[in-house]
Amino acid sequence: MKLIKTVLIIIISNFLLAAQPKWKKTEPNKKIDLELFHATQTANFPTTESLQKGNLMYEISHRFLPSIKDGYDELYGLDGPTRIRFALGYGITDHLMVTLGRSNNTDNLDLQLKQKVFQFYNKDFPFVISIVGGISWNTEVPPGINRSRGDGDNFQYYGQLIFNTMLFDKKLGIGLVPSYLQNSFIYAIEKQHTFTLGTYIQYYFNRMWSLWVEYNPVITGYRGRIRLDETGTSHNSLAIGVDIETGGHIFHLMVTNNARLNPSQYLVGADRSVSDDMWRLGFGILRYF
Amino acid sequence: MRLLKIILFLFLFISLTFADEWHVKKDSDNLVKFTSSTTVLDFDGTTSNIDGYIYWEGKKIFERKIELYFEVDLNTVETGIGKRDRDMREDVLETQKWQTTYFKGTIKNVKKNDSTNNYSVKVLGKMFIHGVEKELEIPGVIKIKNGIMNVQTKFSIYLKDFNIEAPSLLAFIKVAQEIKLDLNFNLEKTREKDN
Repeated sequence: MKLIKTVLIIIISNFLLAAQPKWKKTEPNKKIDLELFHATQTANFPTTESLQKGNLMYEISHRFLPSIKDGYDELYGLDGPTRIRFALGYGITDHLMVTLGRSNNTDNLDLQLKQKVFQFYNKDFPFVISIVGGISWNTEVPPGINRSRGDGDNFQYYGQLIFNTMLFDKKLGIGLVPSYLQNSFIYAIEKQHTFTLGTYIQYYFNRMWSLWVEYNPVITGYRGRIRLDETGTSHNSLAIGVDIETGGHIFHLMVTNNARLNPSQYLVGADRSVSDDMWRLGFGILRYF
Repeated sequence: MRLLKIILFLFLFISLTFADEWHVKKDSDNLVKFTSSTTVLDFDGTTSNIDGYIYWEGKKIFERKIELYFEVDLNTVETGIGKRDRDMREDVLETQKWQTTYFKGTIKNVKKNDSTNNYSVKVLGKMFIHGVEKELEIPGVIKIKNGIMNVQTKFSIYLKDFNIEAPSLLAFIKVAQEIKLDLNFNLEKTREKDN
């Protein structure tokens, strides 16, 4: 009797099982890269973000030289003159991108590679590390300088380590960018170097608006002028701004004491001191496609 | 003796229970595509990452108790621009909360086309996107050839029906509410007449 009951249970179970689909759900297995800051760069620093393979990024940035304090007569600096940078980035792989940029400050051509090297997946403290290596070629030969455009002294080299994290439900981004620049002043007889500790924080209010601060103190090394027509020393860089993000564009609007744009120039420091009330207006536009 | 009769009856009953079940053939060229429009341009997003099944009971195709379920991993949808994909995942679809979209339902009407193994169907069911489930009736064509069931369908959904705010594609240009969906995928039979 017991055997019969067991057989009956097995048969009924089989019948019930047969009367429903046997398809089993499989868990999604695509691992998305950690995406922290919303762009591949802030106003002046790289982030750990990279372009997707085959994608492009275009940048145009302006820093107005007159101070805001010059008032309406200079339209708060917007009358110019202006330091300008154009750049084009390309995703070689999903984790490696190349960027070619040019600034009208000493006609500085800049070529850099950025590689994402480490991602730490954690709900509360995710972080990503990337590295940047770049070379700059100052193609302007000022009057009185007896060297060719292609002279080796016109080239500068730099490396940056980027640490990014995003806290509080992807609201507060923090970046640290220790940076090293070789040949900081291309007209120096003895080669100079500069080491800085770039720092930035960015708070995202929503998908469109965010507020940020960037600070780039020179820790050691050269902090002088970068052009022959400049005087005095360079200063720690400070910039405060907002980002407006909409449909593939990111707009940086800022005040800053540093009008230098390309990395080999920005890293030497700011051309004006914050204490001298030399805040200037600036903007940058990034377009991804 | 009575118990033996019941067992015999069950055996007989089960032997008459036919069921067909087809699963999505993941290694075939499946396509799930959406097309979104703005006033200046259209853009597509695609994935091949669809999974699910069609099931029915009975000897004839789509005879009775028809069930179908299909799901798509939204993290695999690509538009060709990484930044746009990220914005779509994080800001529009919020895939960190609702990574999968699904449709589950049944076939309401079946019409066999001539002498071929092609069927025009109307499917009734619920679609889940962005935390919202909405009932939809969707037309489609099912073709069976060489042991492969091909499903094709085109239909539209509207962002507001799923509590999705239309994003901006270019600066200050909003994406249209209507999203056109185009699916073309294959299934293979996993069982027939189980008992």
